[in-house]
Amino acid sequence: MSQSSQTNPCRSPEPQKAADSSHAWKRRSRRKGPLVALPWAALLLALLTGCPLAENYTDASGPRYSGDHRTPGAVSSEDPSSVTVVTFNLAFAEQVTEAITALTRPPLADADIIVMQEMDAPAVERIATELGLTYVYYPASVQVDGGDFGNAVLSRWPITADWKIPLPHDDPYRKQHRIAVAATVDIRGTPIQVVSVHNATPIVGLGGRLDQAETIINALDGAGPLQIIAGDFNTSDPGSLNQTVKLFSGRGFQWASEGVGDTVDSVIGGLPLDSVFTQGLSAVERGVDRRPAGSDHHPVWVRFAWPP
Amino acid sequence: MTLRKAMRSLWLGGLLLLAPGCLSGARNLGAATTPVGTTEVGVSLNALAFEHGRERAYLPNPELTFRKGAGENWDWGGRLTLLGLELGTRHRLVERSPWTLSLAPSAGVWYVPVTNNSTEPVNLRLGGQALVDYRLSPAWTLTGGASLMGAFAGPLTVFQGRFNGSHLLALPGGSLGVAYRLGKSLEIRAEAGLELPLDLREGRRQVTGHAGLSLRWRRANAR
Repeated sequence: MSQSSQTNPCRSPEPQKAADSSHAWKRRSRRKGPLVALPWAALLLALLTGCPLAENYTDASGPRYSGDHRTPGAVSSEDPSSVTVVTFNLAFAEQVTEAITALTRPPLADADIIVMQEMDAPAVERIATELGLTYVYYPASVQVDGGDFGNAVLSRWPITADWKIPLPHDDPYRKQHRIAVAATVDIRGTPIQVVSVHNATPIVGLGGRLDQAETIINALDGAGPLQIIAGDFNTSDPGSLNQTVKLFSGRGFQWASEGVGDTVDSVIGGLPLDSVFTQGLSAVERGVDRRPAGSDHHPVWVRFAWPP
Repeated sequence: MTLRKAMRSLWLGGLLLLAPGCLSGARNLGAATTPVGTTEVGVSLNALAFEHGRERAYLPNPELTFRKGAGENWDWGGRLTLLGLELGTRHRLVERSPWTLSLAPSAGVWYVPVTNNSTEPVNLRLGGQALVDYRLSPAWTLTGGASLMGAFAGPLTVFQGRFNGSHLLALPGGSLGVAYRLGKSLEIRAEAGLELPLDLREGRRQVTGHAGLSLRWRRANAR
């Protein structure tokens, strides 16, 4: 294939030609300034507004996926001495095998409750099957590639109820809608309200993301004394984590994952996007598993004393 | 400096330059219009106080300004940020030494990649400012300003006819400035101001403000 015979509109013209024609071009562009600028402005506008609108699942109760792959006798008949909770955003659920490897090695192995984000139904089903868990999953929207995008709660203990919490403030580019997924996990007769959170990215202002967090807190109001709200809060912009923690503290929650540090590696450095907030539970150990796990996010885990 | 730190600095620097233009009510103007046949260009650096989440935050906001004399009692000009432009005219209504009174209507448009509580990717401002100059001496001038702006902030989907998530705001405000003429063609101005945003749907928002310096240079137009 001959490169020289091709014309690439993105490439600059050759220097000599450019020098020869520069005066003529300047004369033309002076004369035709608005004529040149208008198409460029139109092109820019077209590019900016060309994002296809997101396909959202607006039904308040679905679609819903669930399954129970626990094996009889997988959990002890006695009370556990601790309960481990993991939150993990698996980046469009693309590298499920790597995620399963990460979730089967310490300190994540044998987690009692796993909340996951950016999931699709086949990925959740596969993880639940391979780890022997019960799960509930609700997609929030459809990704550009056609896959679903939603949140899941997986558990070693029975899930006795679940529901979808629609969040306010769709993103301003594609109107992508966000949800949280709530589940009641029953640990030997003691119910815990668990929520898998995936707030909007920082293109939705901090005020909007705080409204989303507050919507989740309000949805759990009075639901029970033991509550875990965990997930990707997208607290990357300055001040956002601080204000999110203040919001939860003001509503009686502890920041159970306090001090674990950054949970995402990005080109602009580490970012503390994922958190665990709890009511009625005491964290005894916490951390981030920074080994490769199939995502730009690292799984965050917290071990709670049990019984509470 | 590691690559990661450099990238973080670049990101923060970009945010500072890109983000705050639409939040700024700073016009750094006096009431005296630019004489016909002259052009003023200037650079302003303001600190902006604004509502971020549920608290107040501060950002620097650099702007380029220009004015061009258009008639005996009026000029036109504007201010330019990296992703925004505001244009307007200024009309001298009263000139009774040492007082000058002017009215300055303006319209602006800003694109901001991220949203804030009442800003969105597409931001429009339309309104006017009344300006009163009191000349203390040939070098010193005090300026008081009162403004009323209307603002629209909407998602990018407004171009597709989807307006949900948009904000309409009324922004009454006031400013106080002092200018010092450094030479025949050079002026420095300090200005501070407040705006009281009222979201027409969600009610009153936190007070926003600006304080900053502006350096303006005047030259005769080329013939």
